[in-house]
Amino acid sequence: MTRPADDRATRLAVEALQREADATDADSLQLLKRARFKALNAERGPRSSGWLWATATAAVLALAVGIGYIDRNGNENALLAQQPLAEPELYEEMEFYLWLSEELETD
Amino acid sequence: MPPALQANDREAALEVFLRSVQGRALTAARLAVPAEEALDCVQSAMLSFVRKYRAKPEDQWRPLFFRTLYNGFRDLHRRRAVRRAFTWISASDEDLPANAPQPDRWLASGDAGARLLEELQRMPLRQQQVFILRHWEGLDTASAARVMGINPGTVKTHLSRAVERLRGALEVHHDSAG
Repeated sequence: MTRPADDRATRLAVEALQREADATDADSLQLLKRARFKALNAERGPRSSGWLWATATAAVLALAVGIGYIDRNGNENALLAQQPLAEPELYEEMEFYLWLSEELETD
Repeated sequence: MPPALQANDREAALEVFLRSVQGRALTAARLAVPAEEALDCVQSAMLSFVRKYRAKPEDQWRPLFFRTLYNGFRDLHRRRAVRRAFTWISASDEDLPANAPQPDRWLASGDAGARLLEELQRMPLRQQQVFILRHWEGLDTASAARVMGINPGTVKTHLSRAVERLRGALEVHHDSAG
């Protein structure tokens, strides 16, 4: 087995590696500092976004109540619900086909 | 001790740990992967290490961090190998080996240390990382084997080959310098 103290090439290589590590440039150190910060604070992300989601949902609900789309109990506004969802022509066409199918069945 | 205080202590300990390994991790990355990928590799390793292992006992952090870092190097080498296999462009930068030595890269270019770093950079990833883990990081054979996911016997084989290559490079350097 190789022992570091016995081998000149190993010793010199380890010294060179350590020199490189000790002389890390300022730009890289700055980027590494940012990476450390990012790594240590990554777990705070979901908690922050949880608050963000809760706030956004509350705002959307408040807006929906405000414009009268839903009432305070969360039910769809009765007046809005009564409004037709499609064009009158579409109903007329559907009624025609229903009548036609009934007529054909009768025949 | 209140849980909040414990969490703060752990975070502070993690910060100290990451600061203590960052320079070595970056040097190892510059040997293992192309220069432009080295910082990304270290950053990914930090993120992944903190996410997965922050709750582990502190005495396990070093091998776990280097395992995460090594996995990143290995993944990058595999991706590059696949990309090279499907690349038909000849004589482009894409075709350079992942750990091709770069001129004027090392601090003391021209001296024996720089020559040895170049040789480390040229080595296959496993030989290079076994050397770093055993002789620079000071891990024992069993720990180095766990970090790299290989047998202790394979660690010894790679280490012996790495040291032989370094000895050869040093002899060549002395011959050319003398």
